Amino acid sequence: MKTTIQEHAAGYTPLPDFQRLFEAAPGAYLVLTPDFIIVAVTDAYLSTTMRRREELIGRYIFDAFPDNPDDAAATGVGNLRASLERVLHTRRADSMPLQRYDISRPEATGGGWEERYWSPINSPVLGDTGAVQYIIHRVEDVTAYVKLEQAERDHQCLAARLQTRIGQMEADASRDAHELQAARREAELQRERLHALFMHAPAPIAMVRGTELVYELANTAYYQLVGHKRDVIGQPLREVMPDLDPAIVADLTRVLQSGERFIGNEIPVILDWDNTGKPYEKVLNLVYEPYRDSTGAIEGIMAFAYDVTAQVIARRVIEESEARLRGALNHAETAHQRLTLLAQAGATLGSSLDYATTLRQVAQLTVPVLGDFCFFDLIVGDTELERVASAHIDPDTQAVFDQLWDSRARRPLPGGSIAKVITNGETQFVPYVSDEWLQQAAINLEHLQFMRSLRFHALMTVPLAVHGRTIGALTVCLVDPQRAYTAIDRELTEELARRAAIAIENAQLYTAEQAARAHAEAAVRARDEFLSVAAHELKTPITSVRGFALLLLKQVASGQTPTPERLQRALSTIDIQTNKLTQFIDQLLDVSRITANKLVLKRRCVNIGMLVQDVATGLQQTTDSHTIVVTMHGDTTGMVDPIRLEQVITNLINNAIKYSPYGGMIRAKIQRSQPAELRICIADQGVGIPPEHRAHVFDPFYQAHDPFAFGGLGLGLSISRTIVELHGGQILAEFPREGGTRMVVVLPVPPLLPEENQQEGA
Amino acid sequence: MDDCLRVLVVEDDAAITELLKLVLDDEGFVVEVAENGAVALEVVAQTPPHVIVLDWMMPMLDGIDFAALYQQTPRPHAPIILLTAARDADEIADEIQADALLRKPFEIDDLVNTVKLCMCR
Repeated sequence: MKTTIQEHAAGYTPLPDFQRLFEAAPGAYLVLTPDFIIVAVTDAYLSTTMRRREELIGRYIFDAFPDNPDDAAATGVGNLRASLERVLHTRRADSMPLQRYDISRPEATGGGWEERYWSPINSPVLGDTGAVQYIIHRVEDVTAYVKLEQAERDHQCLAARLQTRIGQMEADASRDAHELQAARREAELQRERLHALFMHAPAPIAMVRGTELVYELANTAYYQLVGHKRDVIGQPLREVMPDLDPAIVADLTRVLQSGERFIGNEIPVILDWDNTGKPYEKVLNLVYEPYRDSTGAIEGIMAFAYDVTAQVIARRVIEESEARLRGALNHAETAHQRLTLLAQAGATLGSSLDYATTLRQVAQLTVPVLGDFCFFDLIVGDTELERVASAHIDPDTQAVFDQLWDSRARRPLPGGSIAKVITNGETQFVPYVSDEWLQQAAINLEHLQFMRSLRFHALMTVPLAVHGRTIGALTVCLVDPQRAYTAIDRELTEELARRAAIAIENAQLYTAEQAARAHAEAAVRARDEFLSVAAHELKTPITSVRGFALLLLKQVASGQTPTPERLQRALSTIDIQTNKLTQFIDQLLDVSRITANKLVLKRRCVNIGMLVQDVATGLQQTTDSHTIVVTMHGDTTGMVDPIRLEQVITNLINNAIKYSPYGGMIRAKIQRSQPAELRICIADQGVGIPPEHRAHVFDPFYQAHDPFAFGGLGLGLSISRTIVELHGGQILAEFPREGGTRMVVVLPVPPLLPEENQQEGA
Repeated sequence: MDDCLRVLVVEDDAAITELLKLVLDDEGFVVEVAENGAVALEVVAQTPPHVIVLDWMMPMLDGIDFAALYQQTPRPHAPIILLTAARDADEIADEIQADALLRKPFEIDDLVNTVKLCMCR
């Protein structure tokens, strides 16, 4: 928009742009109507009088700027009114003499009045008719100058004060010229001072101008910093420093465009602009301050560079040593943590022989020092693992672990690291667990999904070994992506595993020793009991043998002759009882043979059914209250030792009789249950065997019932079992729901070859 | 009560029972026999003996249990001669407060003398 002053003057209407221009003018101006109403004011005026525009516009000037009520001698209002009246009257500019007029401070800045000195000039603006349309009231704040003068006056003598007054009067006469000159001098002085300050400032400063960034000024410190040995003034930046970091050029350009100051801290800059061949880095704090020409347009940039290289280096040194110190501290803490782990684990492992419990505690100690979760696995047999203990840093996952392995469930050997450790006894270290690795390690899909859900990225499995024998494995796993296993972790894990293995072995040895001791004690008890029973069983027949012998002797000694009947009873008893003794002794000898593996079978082809029938017939003679019934089906011949098998059948039927104290039926059944298998069942209706004793009925010296109540050495079933097993068969005790006992002998009897049949016939 | 002197033999071994009966018959005692403690309790209720010869190890009701139950029956109580092959016979005799103890195998004279001695008490 182009508006000439004439056009403006003709229209009386201040155009918006012009008003803004007026308001931004560097001088302190006030525009008044002929009746002294303020209609316009410049920013500079507002600034110097500490007023806001809205406080002034539309107001009567003397209301806006009254005299200082505290100063009775104030003349400001009167003098100004006189000057303004003169302007109205003469329609010519009127310069007022140096005028004191105090400015009231806004309440916000403390209120009160500030002593000020002014050099005002009032100029008329004439309308078309030649009448005064406006008065431009312009002021210069010369307070500083006056104050200086006053100060000088205070220090000078009267003569000096007089001289000042003369000088002031001179100034009154030719103020404009004088002030201009003074200002120019002052400005020149100022410029020289600034230049000197600029050139000798301890910080490097350069001024560049225009989009080409042409050097306008550069001080000594700048030359020293950058290393230029030649004059750079007048040359564009890109020629002086062709390889300068483009980012710096970009920063400068931005300041030029935006007019906003740039502050950059600790910017590394490579400097080697005189081709010394030794580029060097400096770290600079940079400030690019735009400067403007008289129209306010950005002309160039004043660049300040503070060399903070030394500070930065010093700080880096400090930071590095701090980091080293922190590293050492961390290392020490880690070492301490590990020693503590080993110590606590050692104490825990030593605290109890219940290694399942102590390993659980050690697992809890192991996380998080050696991993985010861990397991202790022990080998059971050759193909199974028992997860004895597990721990996870996250309580929820720990609960899942507890549920999974609470019962110490055994499971087949998985693939992966545990299997390898168990196979070769060496630590398996998997620094990166890939999904492929998981797939290889998983035993099934469920296992794979579970392992995936654990989200571990590294693992280590170390053997639990004693005396070179691997008894299990300790596995530690990392979930935390910030962590990785180190050689130290490995050593520590192996040491932990070594201690755990020793503890496990000690516990196992102790348990085995305990079991052996219990076994030995049980054996001693069984032997004592056997001796007691044997003594009783031997003494009982001896009692009657000896008693009858003594009875007969006594009669003979007293000259009597025993009656034939008594003689027969005595001799019969002696016969039966000595037979019983012989049987007992045979049983003892059998046990002795069995123990020494010297029981040898003499097999022949025998009709087993008939053999059972014969035994039953013989034993039926010994009891009136029992009925022994023998049934047989099919071919019951087989290659057996008839004497030994007879011993077995006798024992079984005798037991049936003995344990049916109230008599009853005893059934013996012989049948070919399979083409090559013969079953002999002997069932009674007796007292049976209490469930708690059933597992032991075939143990030597074992008696399910009070041995003294039923008699016998407790060897019969043990010997029978051995005989049956020597035949390649087995003997079972069954307990039908209706009561009694059913003993089943199963004998392998391959179909006979013709010649064997012939032998039988022969 | 009649004049005869009754001896109750409580013994499960038939041969020993027969021997005891023969020996004590020869001495003029009336001998009752019971094959276990349960039978013996019935006998003592019907025909109270003057002396009881008691085995320890018997099916159904052994000597110890018989003695305990017998002591609970109305008085008078016949003296008990414990006759046993047990190794800890002394302890058993103490336990049942037996009046005499005979170990198997026994001397016939010892048996007769012991029964006679107990008869006099």
